[in-house]
Amino acid sequence: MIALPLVASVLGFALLCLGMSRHQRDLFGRSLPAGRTRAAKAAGWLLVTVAYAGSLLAEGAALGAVYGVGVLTFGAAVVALTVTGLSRSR
Amino acid sequence: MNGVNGGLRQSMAWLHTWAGLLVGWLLLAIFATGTSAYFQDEITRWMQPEITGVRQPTRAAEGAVTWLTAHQPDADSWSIALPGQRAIASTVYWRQAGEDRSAARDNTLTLDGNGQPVVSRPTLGGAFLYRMHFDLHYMPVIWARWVVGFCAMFMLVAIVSGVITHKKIFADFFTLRFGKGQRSWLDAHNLSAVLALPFHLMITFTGLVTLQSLYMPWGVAAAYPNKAAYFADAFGSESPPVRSGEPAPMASLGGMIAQARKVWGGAQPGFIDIALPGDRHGVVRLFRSGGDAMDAREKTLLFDAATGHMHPLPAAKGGASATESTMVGLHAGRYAPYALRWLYFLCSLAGTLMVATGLVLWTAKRRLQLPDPDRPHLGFVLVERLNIATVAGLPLAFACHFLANRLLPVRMDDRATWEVHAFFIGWGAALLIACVQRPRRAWLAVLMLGAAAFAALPVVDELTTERGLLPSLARGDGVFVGFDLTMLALAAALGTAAWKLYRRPAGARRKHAAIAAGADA
Amino acid sequence: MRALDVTGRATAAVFGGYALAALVAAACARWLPMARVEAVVAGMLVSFAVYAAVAIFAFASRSAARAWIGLAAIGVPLAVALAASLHGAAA
Repeated sequence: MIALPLVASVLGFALLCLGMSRHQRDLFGRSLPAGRTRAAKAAGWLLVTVAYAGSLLAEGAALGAVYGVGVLTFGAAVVALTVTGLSRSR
Repeated sequence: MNGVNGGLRQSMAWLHTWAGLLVGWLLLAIFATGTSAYFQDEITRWMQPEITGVRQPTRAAEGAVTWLTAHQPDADSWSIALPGQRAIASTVYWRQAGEDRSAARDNTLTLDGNGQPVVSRPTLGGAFLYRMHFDLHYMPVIWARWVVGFCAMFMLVAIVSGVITHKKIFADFFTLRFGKGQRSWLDAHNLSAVLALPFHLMITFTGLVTLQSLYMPWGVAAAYPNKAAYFADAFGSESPPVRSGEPAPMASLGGMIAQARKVWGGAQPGFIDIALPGDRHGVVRLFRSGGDAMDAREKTLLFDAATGHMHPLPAAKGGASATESTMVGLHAGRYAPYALRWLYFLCSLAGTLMVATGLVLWTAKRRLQLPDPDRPHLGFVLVERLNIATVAGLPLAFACHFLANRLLPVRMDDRATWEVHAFFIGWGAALLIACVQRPRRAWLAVLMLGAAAFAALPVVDELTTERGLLPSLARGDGVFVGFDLTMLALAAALGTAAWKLYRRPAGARRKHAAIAAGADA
Repeated sequence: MRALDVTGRATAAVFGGYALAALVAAACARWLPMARVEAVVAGMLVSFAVYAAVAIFAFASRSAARAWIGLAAIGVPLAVALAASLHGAAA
């Protein structure tokens, strides 16, 4: 049940990361056009919110609030470590 | 505004550094033991490989009462700690008339699911590491709690000042650059701190709250004539029962548990306290298992021991009390099911890494500013040696503790105490190496010893018990498999760190080589 | 002198901070409009935030002297009011 919020969290943070020019340059070699960057950021924030809301729905208010924090931390950590690994192998 | 070191950000950076540095090594121990405490039940099970079977709280409770009635019928009080969701054995304590509360710690026995004393190697299990988290060791408990509280307050200030100082908190959110020396340590420190920031803030604040009546008794002093009045208000005002002298066998404990579970919506009891067992005035107190609600002090229920009749329910808690007990529950995380428990563990590990990388970062940065790297000033030497002893030494201490559990003779005197001594002997060895060897060699030695010790654990497990990694995999025994795999992962982490350090040419060697080349020319 | 400045701020943070946190805890316990036990607990909860805030303030303010003056400006009236309240209750 908590799997969906976890996935949403990872995807959301991945998009937020892609919406940052420094990481665009690391991963693609260049900055992306402004429109795409904005879209990535918007979609990223949306998914991160969905991840937290999903935790609340899946586990109730109290437990869900705590799960939500854990889910967001997990997603951010996965993206951060992946981005590091990817930019090193370039 | 001009603070202690210039503008606001520089002042907060200064405060952050000093707040972290002064208590960093103790904080590392507190974080490391706290991290392990999230799996203390599993650690206890691993450290008692002789105990098998399933968890049955009601049967365990009734079996415990049978044993206690047979062996300690005249005790003033009995206490039964039932197995939580992740444990199997129960522990019983008893106190004779005239003994004080601390005697219960000596009058204790472990019983299995049927109430039979367990034949298992004497050990404190995961409880030693858990208690060290706030009681430290080799010192009076109250001193330790003050020291830990002091560290926690410094930690809180370090977090706040760290957030104020880290202006680029979002720009650097995903950045971790390897192989860039001081910059890499800073990135690692920032990442482990920021990614789990809500957890770090929560755990530090709730940690202080957990011992708040010790640290801040002034509200009680200002509003109540004495502490007893406050505790009566806060935790229920039933005065302890007085011995009637009339014997009365205890009513069915199973029946009382069933009543309690109805009130608790199905949750299990975690702890049972029986005052004056066998007497007509005996009182049974059932505490709800921590594994079932975030609120740590939810609804304790009282029963007449002789009749099994439940006392009136306690009044509902007010907002502040509910907040306090929820905060305590959040800190201990006993309510957390497995998925959330692993998230707690990972966040706590991040916190441990945050403290460790912060300490190493300090030397990495200062080393560049040393006028003569071969003759650093005393403060630098102190920090560098303590870093080796603690950042590399603590893991070694953990490994020694677990190795002692497997290797110490089962029948030796004070076995459990010596398992604990093994922890500190390992830590002491690291300190010795750190003081005696040159820093780089010391780092490598302690890291490699730790890696070897952790890697040896599954092997020793396989050789000395029937519950090693391979048999446990075959049996689908998650706890034993998980423990041994975690030990291997820690061995790999320490080994990797040692390897990376070994491959990096030493700064001093580079400089010496340059000087030598210049002298030869 | 720098050492004096740092010492002054540090004592304000460590000792002054604890004193103010204790005063706030006591004040909440006596004056918050809720059940006595709730007010006591609320006071304790809040006190740690006060302590941290004072520590930050002590090192962010323009001088050690200013830090102490700020502390006294809040702490002394509070202490006086509390003393009066406690004395009045005892009398």
